[in-house]
Amino acid sequence: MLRYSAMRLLLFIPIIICVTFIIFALMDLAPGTIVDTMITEEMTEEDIEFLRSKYDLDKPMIVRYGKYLGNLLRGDLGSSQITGLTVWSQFSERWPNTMWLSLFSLMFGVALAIPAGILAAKYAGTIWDNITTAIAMLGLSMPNFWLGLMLLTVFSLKLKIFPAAYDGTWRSFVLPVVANGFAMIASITRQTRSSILDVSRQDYLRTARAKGVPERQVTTRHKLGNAWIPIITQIGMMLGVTLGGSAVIETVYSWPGVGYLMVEAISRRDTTMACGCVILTATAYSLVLLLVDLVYAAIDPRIRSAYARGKKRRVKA
Amino acid sequence: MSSKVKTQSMISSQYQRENQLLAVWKRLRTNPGAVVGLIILCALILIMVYSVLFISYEEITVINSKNRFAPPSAEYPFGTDEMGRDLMKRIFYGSRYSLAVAFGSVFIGMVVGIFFGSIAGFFGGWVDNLIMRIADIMSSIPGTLLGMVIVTILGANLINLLIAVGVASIAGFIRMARASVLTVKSNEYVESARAIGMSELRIIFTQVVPNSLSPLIVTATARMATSVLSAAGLSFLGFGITAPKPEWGALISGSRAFLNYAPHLCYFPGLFIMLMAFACALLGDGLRDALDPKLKK
Repeated sequence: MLRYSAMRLLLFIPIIICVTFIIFALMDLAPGTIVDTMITEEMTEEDIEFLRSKYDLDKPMIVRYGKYLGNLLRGDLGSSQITGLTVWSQFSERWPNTMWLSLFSLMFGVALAIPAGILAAKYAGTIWDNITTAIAMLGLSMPNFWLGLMLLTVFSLKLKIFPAAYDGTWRSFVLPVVANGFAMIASITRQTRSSILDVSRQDYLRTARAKGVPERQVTTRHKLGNAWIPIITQIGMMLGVTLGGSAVIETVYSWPGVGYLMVEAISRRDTTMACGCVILTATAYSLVLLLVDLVYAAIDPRIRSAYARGKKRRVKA
Repeated sequence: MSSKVKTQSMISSQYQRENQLLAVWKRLRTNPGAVVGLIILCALILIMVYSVLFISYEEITVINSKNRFAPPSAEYPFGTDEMGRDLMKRIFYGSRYSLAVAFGSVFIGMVVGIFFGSIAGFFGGWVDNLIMRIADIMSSIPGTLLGMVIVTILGANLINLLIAVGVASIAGFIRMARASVLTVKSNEYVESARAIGMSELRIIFTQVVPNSLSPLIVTATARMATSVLSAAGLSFLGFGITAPKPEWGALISGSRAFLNYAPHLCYFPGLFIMLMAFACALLGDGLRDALDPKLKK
């Protein structure tokens, strides 16, 4: 188990190197450089040349990348080319905002979606199931930034119940969490419904009922116990998606998070900042996926025993 | 002689395929969700055709300062925007972008994904490993971010937005195509194609891919919904089709400054994005049931 986690983490190093190279190369190919955003009317040719050499822009991309990678391997993500603040300080300052937003959205989503999914599966084929499915479908189709703006219009501008932007209190979390969580509700509900329906056809449920297990316990223990795994995958994926795609909802609510930081960095051609944010976000994303894998093992004895027996027996994912 | 046999088998396989399509269509028709999705999608396509024929770009960009922020009325069903332009016409005009993104980006992702995914699944070994690790890397970069970077490099226009959204879907299609090729490739007809001397590449693209297509079609249709949403999101962030072009996401972005006194500028474009994604999602669900009757009990 420990060995498996260690392997997964080691495998992550080549991925990070490739990802940084891709982002670096792409940012280099983009028309315009960081210097172009600083040039003013009164600058002379020499000033511009000085700036170019300051950012190593007179050297080929591969040299800059080598330098960056060297620093990265020593754990130095560099500093923003615009503000001069270190990437780490900027990121770690904003990360909690993004993380709490994502976690709260997920909690909100899961709290509503799992009961809804269970009910939809229980009443499969009836009007309740159809209504739940239709709402879930609508939720999946609704652009989250639009929902965010709608909530903003109603609850913040008209009714003035919640603030329109981040102010550090719990009240400012409400609207973004709802806007972010709505799409999650939709997809987790659908996943819950379909995996419970899958499990319901299994024979061990009949066995459980035959030996007199009360229906409530059949649902919570036997059905849910086995339907968990695909649901957890879906939840893990949703967490990854919100962590990585937080830019949109953060823009709507002027949320001081990582997504907003990345949008700024990319549009201002701040390669170091953009790269750093990508690395850190991708790391967080992969850690979440690893965590999901470990949770599987914790809840599914079959998987746990496959790990315990060592590498040879491990089923390829 | 051999050519005659070939022609015959081609005719019969074509006949079978038509028969299959008809059966799928019959099943699809009985699914109310799929029918609703299809109707919405057709309506949106009709709106696009109407806008291409009757709404000129000048008409939707010309400034009419007398009519600013008119609320929805009989004359302007969706109201007018901050420059007095008819919002309904702008939204209708914008339908072309969303439809193009829905079909175009998924097409890009599907073609590239099927190509590499089927090669990976069919050959296995180091080819498989290489392609799948690349897919892993691609999927460890968040899609929104990759899209922003690609649009920044290539420039903000429709084609580049298509590419940006399409690239983000490639990894998914590679995995999907690989998985379905793996299940198909051990069938007897692949063996017999090899026996009559078909080249490996030809086997992949004439025997294996067509037979593993149905899960891919389902994914593609469902993916269209996601693509519409992420393209709108990118445009909303300013990395996509930008004002004055009336892309729906860009329209919502433009409405942010006037939410207080002209919320209708935000309502309508969002409703249309939602309709479009909803139609694709419904159709995807319906197709899944229609293509795989085993799933339905």
